[in-house]
Amino acid sequence: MISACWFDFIVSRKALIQQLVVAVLVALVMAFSTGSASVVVPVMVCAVVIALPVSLCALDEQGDWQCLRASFPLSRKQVMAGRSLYLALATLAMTVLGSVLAVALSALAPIMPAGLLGNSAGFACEPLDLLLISACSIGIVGVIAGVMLPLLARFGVTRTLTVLPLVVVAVFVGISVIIGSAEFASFAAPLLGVVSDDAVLLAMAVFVGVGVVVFALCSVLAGRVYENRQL
Amino acid sequence: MEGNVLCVHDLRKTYEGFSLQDVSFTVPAGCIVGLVGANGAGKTTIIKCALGSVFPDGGSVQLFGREVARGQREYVGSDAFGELRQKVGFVPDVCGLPRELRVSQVGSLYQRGFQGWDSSLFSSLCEQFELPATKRVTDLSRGMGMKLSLACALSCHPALLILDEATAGLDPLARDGILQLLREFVEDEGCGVLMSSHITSDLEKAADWVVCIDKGRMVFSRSADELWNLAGIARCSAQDLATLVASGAYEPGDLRLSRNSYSCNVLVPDRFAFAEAFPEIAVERASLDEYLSLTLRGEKL
Repeated sequence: MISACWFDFIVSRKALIQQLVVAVLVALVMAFSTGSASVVVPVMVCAVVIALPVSLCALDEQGDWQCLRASFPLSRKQVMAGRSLYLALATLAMTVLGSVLAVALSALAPIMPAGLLGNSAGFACEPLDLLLISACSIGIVGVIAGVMLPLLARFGVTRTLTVLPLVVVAVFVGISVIIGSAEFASFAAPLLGVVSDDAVLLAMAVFVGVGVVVFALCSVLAGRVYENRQL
Repeated sequence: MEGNVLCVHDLRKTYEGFSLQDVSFTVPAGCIVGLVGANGAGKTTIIKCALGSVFPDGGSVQLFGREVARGQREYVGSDAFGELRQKVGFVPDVCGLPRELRVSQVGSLYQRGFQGWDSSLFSSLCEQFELPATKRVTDLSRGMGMKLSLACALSCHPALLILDEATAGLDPLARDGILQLLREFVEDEGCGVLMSSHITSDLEKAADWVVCIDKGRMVFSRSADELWNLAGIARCSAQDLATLVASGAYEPGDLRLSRNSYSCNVLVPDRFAFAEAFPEIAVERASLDEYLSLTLRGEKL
């Protein structure tokens, strides 16, 4: 699994750096235009990590690398496990990097030109807000990247990008139906009460937990799907 | 290593519009087995089944004596199959290495994957093939890409080396060098080589055994001795042909012929015996090209 993770890293290094540069630029633009340094974290995490599975799959199909990799002493499950580990590490890295950038911007806010910041009073981010936003980002990316993994493992890049919008719509419709149901309202009431009572740490745990669980389950599914795919 | 490194028995695989049926052959340690056939005959499909890239619909594939075909009861499982590939080197028809990597980084990639990786051999082969360490894969010509893939495969010290049209993009001098290297590798390491090619002259220089596939069917599996040391082409006139048929020396269907304007060529299984029986008819050694052409397209006599 570690070898497979390393293969993905070395193969996607150039694409990762390019995506990182773009993400930093977009994050800075959004931070200054919205007047809040906190947006840096979700932009960095989502911009890099959501694109990464697609990039990796495209690199697999480029020049038949995945057929050559199939001759390596790795099982298909190990390839997908390594990929999941790589995405998890990328998520953590982008969260930390985004947080460092947000803190740096907050620290520099007092010396920046007033016109640049917009509402300078709210620009700097509070530590607890940063933690909550990071947890939300991890949760969201965990779900989206998780949904993408088995689709990419089964269909490859081209067909997944055709199918993905339909899947996203289906997921959102499904979530809306569930949230709108009376059963969910009675189930979620205690939880919403906790969140609205500023139990931020619990809220963070919920976001991260949902993201991690969905990502983990989808990773296992992706491993099984990829194991049965004929290259 | 001794014994058979690869055994394929009654291999079957069906795609839309193509069907591989009942292909059987072995690759012994210390032997080069040539897999020959036209484009689309099924050579790459056989190789993909051996490597686990595709799953056969029937039949058995044994790698180092262990079953790796998924449908079989004795199937080792995907993790164990992965481990068996530690001893397999593969050179595909297209250099599948990640394009942005430099030659030195490709070595690091393989070093991470293969326990038997030999860095000094890799460096030595890159030098021999004139592959600069700092050059990117995307900047390599097709021939240089093939050489890099071969250097990687050989540096793993495999017990089974599989080459899928690996010499196709090389100039004749480079091909000769590669074939010589393969022969030395087999002699030194005792590994088995499965080499698919439609460049028959390469197989004549290197192969100990030839398996011919045509439209998904196995046409023959013969030793090099039988093919070009024993078989022959008799250059017959119409009268010679009539004499040959009338002699009753061969059963109907034993011989294959092709007709041209003034004579015909007849494929005979043993040219020495033929020369003794028919001293007046010119017979010479058959090239693999002629052997294949007459076997696949020749008229039955």
